[in-house]
Order: sequence, then C-alpha cells, then structure tokens
Amino acid sequence: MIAAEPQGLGEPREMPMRLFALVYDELRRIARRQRRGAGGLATLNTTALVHETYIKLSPSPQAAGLSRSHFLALAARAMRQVLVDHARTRACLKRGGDITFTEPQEGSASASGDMVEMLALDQALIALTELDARAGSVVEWHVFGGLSMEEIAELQGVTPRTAYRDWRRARAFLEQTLGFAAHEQT
Amino acid sequence: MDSARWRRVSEAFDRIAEAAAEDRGALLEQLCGEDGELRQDVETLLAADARGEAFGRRAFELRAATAGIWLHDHDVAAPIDALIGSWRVVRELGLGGMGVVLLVDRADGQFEQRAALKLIRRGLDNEVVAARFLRERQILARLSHPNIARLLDGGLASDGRPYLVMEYVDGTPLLDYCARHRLGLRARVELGLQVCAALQFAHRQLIVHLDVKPSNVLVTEGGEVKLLDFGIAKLLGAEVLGALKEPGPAKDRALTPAYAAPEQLQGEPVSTATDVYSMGCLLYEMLTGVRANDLSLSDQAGEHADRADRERPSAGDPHNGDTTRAPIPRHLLRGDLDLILCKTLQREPERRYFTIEALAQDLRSHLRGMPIAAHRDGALYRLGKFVTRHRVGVAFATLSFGILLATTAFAMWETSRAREQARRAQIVSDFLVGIFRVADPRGTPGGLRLSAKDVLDSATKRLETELDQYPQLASSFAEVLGKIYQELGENDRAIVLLQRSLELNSDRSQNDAAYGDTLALLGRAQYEKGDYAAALRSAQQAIDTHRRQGKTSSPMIANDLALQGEIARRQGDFARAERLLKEALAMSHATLVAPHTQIAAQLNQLAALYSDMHRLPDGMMLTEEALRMFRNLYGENHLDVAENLVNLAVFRMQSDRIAESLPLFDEAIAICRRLLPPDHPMLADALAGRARAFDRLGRYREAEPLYLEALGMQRRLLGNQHPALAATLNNLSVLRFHEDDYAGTIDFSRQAMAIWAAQGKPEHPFALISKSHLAVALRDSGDLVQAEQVGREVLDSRMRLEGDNGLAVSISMDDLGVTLRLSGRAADAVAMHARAQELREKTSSMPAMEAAVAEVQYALSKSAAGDQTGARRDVDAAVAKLRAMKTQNPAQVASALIAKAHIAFVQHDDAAGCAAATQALEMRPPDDPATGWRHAEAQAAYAACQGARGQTVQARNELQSALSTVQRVRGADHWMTRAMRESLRLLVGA
Repeated sequence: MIAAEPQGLGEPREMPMRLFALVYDELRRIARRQRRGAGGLATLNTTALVHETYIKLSPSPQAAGLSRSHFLALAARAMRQVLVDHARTRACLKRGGDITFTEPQEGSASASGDMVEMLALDQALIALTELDARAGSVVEWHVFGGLSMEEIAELQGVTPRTAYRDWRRARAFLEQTLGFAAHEQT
Repeated sequence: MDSARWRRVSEAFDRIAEAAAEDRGALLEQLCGEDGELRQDVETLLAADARGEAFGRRAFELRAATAGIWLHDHDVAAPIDALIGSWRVVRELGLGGMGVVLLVDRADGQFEQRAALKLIRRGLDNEVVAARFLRERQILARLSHPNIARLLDGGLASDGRPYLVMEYVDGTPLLDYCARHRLGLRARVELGLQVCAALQFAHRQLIVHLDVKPSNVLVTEGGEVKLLDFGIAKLLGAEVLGALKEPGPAKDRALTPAYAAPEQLQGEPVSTATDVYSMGCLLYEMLTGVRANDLSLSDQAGEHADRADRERPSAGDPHNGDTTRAPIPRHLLRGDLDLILCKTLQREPERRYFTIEALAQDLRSHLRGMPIAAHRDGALYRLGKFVTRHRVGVAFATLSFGILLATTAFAMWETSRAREQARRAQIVSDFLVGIFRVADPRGTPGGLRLSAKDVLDSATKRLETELDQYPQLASSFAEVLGKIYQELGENDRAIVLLQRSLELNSDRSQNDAAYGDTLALLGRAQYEKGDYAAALRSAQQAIDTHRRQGKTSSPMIANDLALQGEIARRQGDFARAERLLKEALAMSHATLVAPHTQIAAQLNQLAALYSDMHRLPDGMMLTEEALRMFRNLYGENHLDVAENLVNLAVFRMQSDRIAESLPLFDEAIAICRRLLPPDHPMLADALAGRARAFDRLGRYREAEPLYLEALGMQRRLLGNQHPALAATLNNLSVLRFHEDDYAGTIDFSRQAMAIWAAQGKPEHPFALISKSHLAVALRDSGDLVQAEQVGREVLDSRMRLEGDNGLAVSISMDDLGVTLRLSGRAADAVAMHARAQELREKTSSMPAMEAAVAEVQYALSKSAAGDQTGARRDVDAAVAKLRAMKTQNPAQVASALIAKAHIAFVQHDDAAGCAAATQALEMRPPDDPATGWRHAEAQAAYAACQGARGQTVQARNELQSALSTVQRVRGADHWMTRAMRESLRLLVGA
C-alpha cells in the first residue's frame, strides 16, 4: 500500500508514517460508524470524514506538533489511499469474482466504470506529481481531502490565487491525460 | 515530458489561461515565439482547460462514488429483522438519493402485507421536515389510482428519521422494461400515457410529483405502469430542493437534476408544469435512448445543456454518430413527436403544455393519426419567438400565477375542517381545472397566446358563477386574485376583488386577522391608485381589526401604521408621517427578526419621507441599510434591490453626488427591464430618475427622451390623474426652463398643478413647487402681472402651511421680490428680500449657492431703491462667495458679475464696473442668436463700460445689437427689452 504512495508531496516534508497508518484506520472506523448510525446509505461526505478524523486524532501523541492544515493534508492522502485501494479490489472482483453487490439505484451500470476511472485518475495524479509536485498536492488535498483553496494556499505558503492557478493547471493536465470531460460529451 | 519542459509549458499556460480570450493569440505568439513544439503543448493544455471545470466535477463525483461503494461493501446495509414502526425488514431493495429502500412485511399481525419501506436519509430528518411530513402524508394517502404505487403508511422511526411505506411493486424500471421487450414506438408512447394518467389524477388533487424519472416508474410483467414516490419531493420540501442546488456529486443529491425542470434547479416556484417538464424528459429518453438534459456537461443550476433547445429529437445526438442506442428509428419521431417533445421541454413553464392532460391528448391524437394541438397553433417556433420577445412580461405574470397554485390550495387545506376537506378539495380542484381549460391551447382560438393574465381574468369571471355556494372559498380566491392584480399594477381590478372578498366574509369574520390583512391589501391598492382618502379609511379599519385580536403590537399593525404614514407623506403631512413611520418601524423591529422584508420596506418608507424633508444624511443611511437587507435576502437580481438602488441614487443626487447616481440608475433599469413588463411604474420611476440626473448634470438632451418615455408609461399605467405623473411633469417643466422654453415650462407646470387640483390637493408641497416654477416662468417670459399674482398665491399658501419659518417660504419671497423690482416697485422688493433673508438666517438650511443667488437679487433691489452702498457691499460679498465655491456654477457667477457691473456703474465706480462687465462678457460668449439672450445681456453691461470710457459710438452699437437680439428672442414688451431700450435712450440722450 505504501509502495503505491505518490512521490514528491511537498508538504508535510517528514510524514510520520505511524500517524498515516493511524489516520487510515481511523477513517475506516469513523466511516463504518457513520454508516451504522445512518442505517445504510450510499452517500458519504468525505470532507466531513476527513475533518472528523482530525478532531479525533489531533490530541494523539503522533499528531503532536502537526498543524491542522498539515494534518488535513495527511488525511487527504489517507483518504486517497483508502479509496484507490478499494477501487482496485472492486475492479478486480468485477473482472474475476462472482460476488454480486447491491448497488445504488441510479447509474448502477456505471459503478464498475467508476472504479476503473478512479484507478486511472490515481495513475495520472502520480504522473502529474512527478512533473509538478505542488500541483499534484493541490489535487490530492482538494479532491480527496476537501481542503479549500485558502487552506491549501496556507499549507503551501502561497497566495490563494497561486493555489487556484496550480489547481487549474493540474486539472488541465489530468483532463488532457484522461479525457474524462471529453468522453462525457459523447 | 521532462520537468524542465513542463515548467516552460506551465509558465506559458498559467499566463494565457488567465488572459481574456481575445488576447490569447497574441500572448501565445509572444510567449512561445518560434518554439512550435512548446506552442503545441500549450495549446493542447489550453484545450483541455476548457473542460477543466467539468473534469473537476467528474473528479469529485468519482470520489463520492468510490466512497459510497467503499461504505456499502463494508457493512450490511440494513438491519435485517429490525422493526420500523409496525414493519419488519426482510431485505434491502436498494439505495437512492433520499435513503435506503427496504423490503418489509407487516409485523402487527393484522394481515399479511408485503411493502417497500423508504427510510429517509439523515440530514433530511430535522424537525421541520418531520412535522410537514406527518401533516401531509394524509393527503398522499388518498392518492388511489391503478398507476400510482399507493402510500400505505408513514411515520417516524425510533431514531427520528421519517419513513414511508409504499405498495411493493414487483416490476422492472421503465427503461429496462422498454429495452428488454424491445418495445416499438406505439408501445412506448402507450406506457408514457399510463404515466400521464397517474400524473393527471394527482394534479386534479393538486398534488405534484416533482421527481418524475425513469427509476421512479416501474412496469409490472402485465405491462402496468406504477409511478413511485408520489409527492415525496413536495413532502420533504425545501430541504430537498436545497440539497439539489448544492454543488457536489450527483449521488449526494436527493433529486435527480437530469430530470428536474429549470425552475426546480433555480429554486423557483414549482407547479404542475414542473411535472410536465419531467414527463417530457422521460418520454424523450424512452424514444431516443438519450437523456434530454445531460447534466454532466453542465452541472450548474439552470444551465441545462438542453438538447431539446438545440435541435429536434429526431435529429439525433450530434455527439454520438452511431445510432445503436436509438431504440426507435429517428424518422418516426419527425413531425408531431418532435413538436410534442419540444413543447414539453420548454425552459419557461408557460411555454409548455398547460396540463398533463393536454400533453396526453396530443400523444393520443398522434397515435390515432389526428392533428395535434401543437400544430394548430401554426408555428410553435413563432410562438417561441413571441414569448422570448415578451419573456419578461410573461414570466412575471406566470410567477404570480404559480404562487396561486402552490400556496393557496395547500393553505386552504390546512385551514379547513377535516370533514369538509374532501368536498372542498374537489371544488378547488374543479375550479382550477376550469381555469386551466381556458388556457388550454385546444380550448380557444389563439390557443397558446393566452397569457397568465387571461387565465386570471377568466378566473375572476368564474368566481361569481361557480363559487357562489361557497362564500368562504370565493372570498379567499377573490383576495388572492386581487393581490395578484395589484402586483400586476391593475389597481382598479384589485380594488374590486378585494372589496368583494371583504363583502363575502363580512358576516362571519370581521374580527379575523385575515380580514384585517385583506383590508390592509385594499388600502395598499387604493393608495397605489392614488385614492388617498379611501386608502386611509381602509388602513384605519385594518388597524382596528388587527387590534381586536387583543394585541397592541404586531407585524400586521406595524404594516397598517406604515401605510398610514406613507399616505400622510404623500399628502404632505410630514410630521404625522414621521411619527407613524417611526412607530411602525419600531414595532416591526420589536416583533420581527432582521433581516426582514417588512423592516427593509419600512426603512425605505421613512427614508423617502426624509428625502421629502431634505434630511438627506438620515435618509441615505436608512436607504443603505435597506439595500443591504434586501441584498442579504434576495441577492442582486430582485425588484426590491432595484427599487433601493433608485432610492439611493436619488439621495446621491440630492447630496450633489450626481454623477455617482448614474450607475445606480443604470443597474436598476437593467433589473427592471429583465424582470418587469415593458410598462411598469417602477421602470418609469427609474427612467425618470435617470432623466433627472442628466438634467442636473446639464445634459438636457439626454434627459428629455427619458422623461417622455417615463411619462408615456405612467399615463398608460396610471391614467392621467396620478400624482406620479405630476412629479414627472414638474421635472419636464424644469427641463424646459433650463432650455429657456418658458412656454413649455408654463404648460408642464400647469399640467402638474391640474393633477394635484384633481386630487383635491392644490396646496400639496409638490403642487406649490410646480406653481412656483410657473411664477418664475411667467416672469422670465415677460408677464410680470401674472407672475406676481401666482407668486403671491404660492407665498400665501406656503406661509399658511409652514408658518413664517420655512425654507420654501424664503425662496418664494425672493422670487416675488425679483418680480416686484422688475415691475418698478423697488421698495416693496427690498422689503420682500429683507424678510426672505431674515428667514434664511433663521433656518440656515438654504444651500450656499442658492443663498448667494438670493443675495445678488437683494443687492439689485437695494440698488433700484437707491441704497447703492448696501447694494455694492452685498453684491461684492455674493460674488466672492460664488467664486469661492468648490463646484463653481459659471452661469450664476456671470449673472452676479453683471449685477455687480450694473451697481458699480450706478455708483460711478467705472473701473470695477468695467472689470466685472468684461469678465461677464467672457463668461457669456456669443450664443445661438435665435434663442440666446445671455450674451446680449452681458453685451449690454459691456456697452455701459464703453460708455463710461467715453466710447459712446461703440457703446451705442453694442447696445443696439444687444437690444435687437433681446427684442427678437424675448419679445418687444419683455422687461429685459424695456430695460435695454431705456439704457439706449439714456445713452443717446447723453
């Protein structure tokens, strides 16, 4: 799992691996609890989840000395990892396994397609991060962690305008590579 | 690509992407130069950037989809065997935007029943939703129709979440059914007709579905359609619509935007027309295999990528060359079905079929090969153009109409007794259906051209004939209709209907708050019409009725007080108006929570009063507060915002920040033109205001057409006797005065005065303003006798009204003083000016420039009366003041200089006289010899200077030339002409 970790995350520089593992586990735990509480629904507010994880873990010793933004960035990465891992499992099952899933009513046909696209997004993001580490981080934090441009700017030590510029460039790169929006038009 | 190259591409991309489209080419050239490869990389990236936002949305969607599946796979979705209400969970059927759907059995042992239980998801389980839910599920339970999955039960689960139990339908989703059975065109249309039947039935009960989509339509193996989730969207209300508008992945949403009507996406009032639209989406997809709206292309609310808007359904999907997805050969859709679908999918509700029944009728006609109604109109597209052209008016009218449907019917249900409910509902329903029938394109010649107003007119007629057995209902409808007419600016009809509503109600509920509200509405309509006496009576009755509710203060009483205050203001009783409006505002603040429309409206009313009272800083502060409140409540594009922009602009103008008022007027006019019919009082106000700004800036040519447009509009809307017309006429008279058109000034002033006279208010402050303009115009046109008479009347009226202490009184005295001096009664003139000055010093609120101008006139009168020393001292002081002003008014400075020259020559101070006359001549260069007299006046002063220097020949020639000009322009008998003739006689005599 850690091997697939994208390279060149600018900040936080010294990622405490143990904290990452902790966040990863906590994300899953909170998500499960949310789910039980809700009696089963397919929607999940990932941004809220990331923030709740922070609230839960920030007093822990591993998180000591880490700012809120740094923690959220870390959680964003964990979120990305959780989802990409699951998409991979799910895509494999779809191809080989015989397990059937109950799926959300709307757009059920596209669920396995979504998983494949998620994996492709992850790959393209790795490529982007190699070329342009800051832009890669923006995507990870914004899409997976739900961090706002202001939060990202603070974390990067740049202006929100620069953060947005990075996001725009990153988007263009990824869209050029993946063509998600171009395909949608067909 | 290596990172060095990427860096170069990035740098260029960042700059070009931020540049405006038209600058991009040059920038690309500049940044990439000869490097063709770089250029290509950047261009490719820019092309992808055009889809950047869509990509962003897709990325978020993917995250949510994966997260959903992650969660789903981790735990069993539903607690099997759990009890919810009296239902036991058997298994999960699926997950939807609103929550989980469970297969359940009845557990209370009464009888065996299998059903589908929908557990509403968290976030939609707040108290408001729960309360409405419990109240309204009763209505839904009555929906018994073979094509509607019945609502069996509903309640709150132990954790507080609402749930609904529906008839379990063992069926296949509509689109799957069509595909599996490879249904042909006819079979598909027939399935669609079953959906229509379900909707039509519900609409007759005034229940709207609001979430019609393929997955809500199941088809049993017997081919019977069952429509699910009826009224659930309505039941859950605004929270669902709110969730719909939030950005984010589609699955987080309760409703499905792809099938939602534009008005739903924009959070506007919904009606049965909303279901017509969604029905169109459903048919479109059944027949073409593609969605009518692909929201993935444009996720923003209201930005439907409407295929139906772009091309006919039969034209196919331009993005998809292959036709394998098309279940029906395209050519079969050409013609009727194209028209039917287009008409159903119109963006504006009023352009769609008025009822599902009308749509169904056309579908049936098509199947039978009969002509359809959409054809009968001749040209749908011509109509489309007509409506587009008149979009504002039509949309405005329909909006009000939508409110009638959405609130009245339900409100009535809530207030009526349970036993009467069904019967009443049927009456209401038949009544409304009747209204619809009139508007049904098939029903009348001209069909679709009927506007919502025609529908209202028809409703008004039917009110008396069909509801005469039910006075309560008739009364409610009369009130609603009256209110709508008032909003449409038809005050006469509004008054009739509101009075009828009161009559119908009079024996039963004179003590009702509602009765008081109707009285207040009536008062408002009478006020808008300009019938102040009646309006005052109605407002007082409203207060009395509201006070009988046992409360001394309430928002309603505040509202009534404010109406009285506004009437007092319009009647010119400012003290009473201020007292009433302040009391109203205090009461509103005490009984309502800000920001609130009523508070904002009353802030405005008080501000308007302060404007009339010239308390500008107070008024401006209140207006800004109100504008903030309205923007807070409504955003930018709202009529109340427009109104406040106008008010603020007027204050800026009054505070001499005239240029700053123009953009405010422009913004307000733009909002009005977007939201209002072509003729509307508010638009007229904004136009007149903009005209006044140009007027004050001296840009008369730009002002006049705006005034005239406003005046025409006011005449058409308000008739010829409305006070608003008087204001515009007054302003036109001032404009004409500035253009030296005294005849025009006199004419417009008299028209304005006539209106006030017809209102029974010949001494209204505004009437007196027009009258004082009349007096000045008469004087400057040369008619001193009449000028004195009218001037004295104005002065008498003002002194009677304001006592001996008003600013206006002081101005009239100065005006009259000038007339007396010109009439050769210098001593009377001096006495008049002296009193004026005394007042001026007492009130100290006279603007500095006007005060200096008055002093110049006083000085001239003193000189005429023989007091040369005093005259010279005063005129020197006035000239100095005028010159010292931050914004100089050259016209007034020149006039003062001529006065000074005149006085100096009389004093034999030739040096000072010549200096002043020379400056005056420079400031008044030759003007239009056909209409100008100012140059001639200065020329005459300069001639005096030449005479003083002994250059009598030149002096005579100059004076002769000035005289002939003035004689031509102002007439042989004009006082200016006579004065010059006298000067010439003296000069020649010397």
